Amino acid sequence: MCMNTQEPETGDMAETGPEFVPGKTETLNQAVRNAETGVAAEMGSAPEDAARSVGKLGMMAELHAMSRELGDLGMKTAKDMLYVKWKDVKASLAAALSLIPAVGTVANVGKAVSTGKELSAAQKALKLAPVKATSAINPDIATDIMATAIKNKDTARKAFIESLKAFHHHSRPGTWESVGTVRKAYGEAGKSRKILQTAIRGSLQDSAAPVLEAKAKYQAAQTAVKTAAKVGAKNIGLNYAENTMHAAEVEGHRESTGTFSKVLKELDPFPEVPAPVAVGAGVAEFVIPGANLVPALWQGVKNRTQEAKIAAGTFKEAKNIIKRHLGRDVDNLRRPEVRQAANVFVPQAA
Amino acid sequence: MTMNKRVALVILIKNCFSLSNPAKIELLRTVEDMSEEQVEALGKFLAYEREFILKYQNQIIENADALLEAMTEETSVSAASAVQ
Repeated sequence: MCMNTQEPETGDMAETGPEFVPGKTETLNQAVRNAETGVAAEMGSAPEDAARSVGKLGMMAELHAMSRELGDLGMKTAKDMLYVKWKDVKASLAAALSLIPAVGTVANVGKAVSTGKELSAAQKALKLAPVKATSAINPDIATDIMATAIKNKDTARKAFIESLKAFHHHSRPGTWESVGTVRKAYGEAGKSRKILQTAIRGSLQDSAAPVLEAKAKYQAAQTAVKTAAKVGAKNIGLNYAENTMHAAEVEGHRESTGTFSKVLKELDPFPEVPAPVAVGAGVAEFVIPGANLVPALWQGVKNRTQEAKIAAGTFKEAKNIIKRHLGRDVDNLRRPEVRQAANVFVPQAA
Repeated sequence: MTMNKRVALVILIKNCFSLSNPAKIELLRTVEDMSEEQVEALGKFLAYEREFILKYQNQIIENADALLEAMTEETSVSAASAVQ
């Protein structure tokens, strides 16, 4: 992995740093100056920014995948990890929210990454719909298929926005169950869609009946998705008032609105995100701090990847650069001074 | 020698995975004024974040890879549409 050897070594000082003495802050000031210089040196670098954004989304997706396993399979290991360890993290996070509210949306964004993929799949299905429709012989069926694809896209958008609300409150026990239900409904919808596609292919030789039957099943599955989303929202509402985390979040958000706005401002505008998603997230922002970060993050990653692409000439090349920087970020976490720093807060860190 | 908590926090912020560079700068400038509780809370969070990333780094990089692949596909589709 590539290591940035020109970067100032915060750790050299830190490894030999004396005990903190209240009132004597030169050691700390020097550490901050070194760190700022190191971070500033990375600013403006498209591959650095893109790598960190992509890595962040990758991490959130992994958190979400783990939470999904917990809901579907009830894996004890995952449960220990998420309910015990993540509970500790949340406790810390609640206090830290006044400083960095954006990280409070980790699970929120993780869900959005996943749902965003489903939205993307629905959009692709919509693009492909005319092709499938023209090959389905009967113009009426073609129209129906188009309508289904459009509904599918709308449903995915709504679920996307619902998921923003649901996952912000990932700490609430009822949410896990609700999210599991939504996921299950999505799975059923996916199966129905495959059946529908098979039926469409079959309709070239057979009658329209299998298509209509499959479409009915698919629509039923979509209804289940909507119902599950509503139930999820209701459960969240029930848990909303009684959860002590909420109070901490609200308080943290109130104190940190200024910081939060600054974090948002660094992100790019998001013209390419479908309008309902952007508007929905914008509205949700008034209710859920951080919801607006989701489309912004997506757009930010895309824009920065585009910048990296221009710089590197080809997307493939840019992708390699981003991955290399991402690998370096992970490698940095293994550096002795970083391990030592982590040990200060969580003893025996790897 | 034990590293003092604020210096440790500075190192964790600098190397943390999920914060953007501007957000890191913002935070670094507030470390000196943070209360002991805030230092402890944020430090603990970042230490857990590090532990999570190192433990699941392969999966995280796979996810990131998938994300980049999806963008590649999207870029190809956009380019094809532009040509048409």
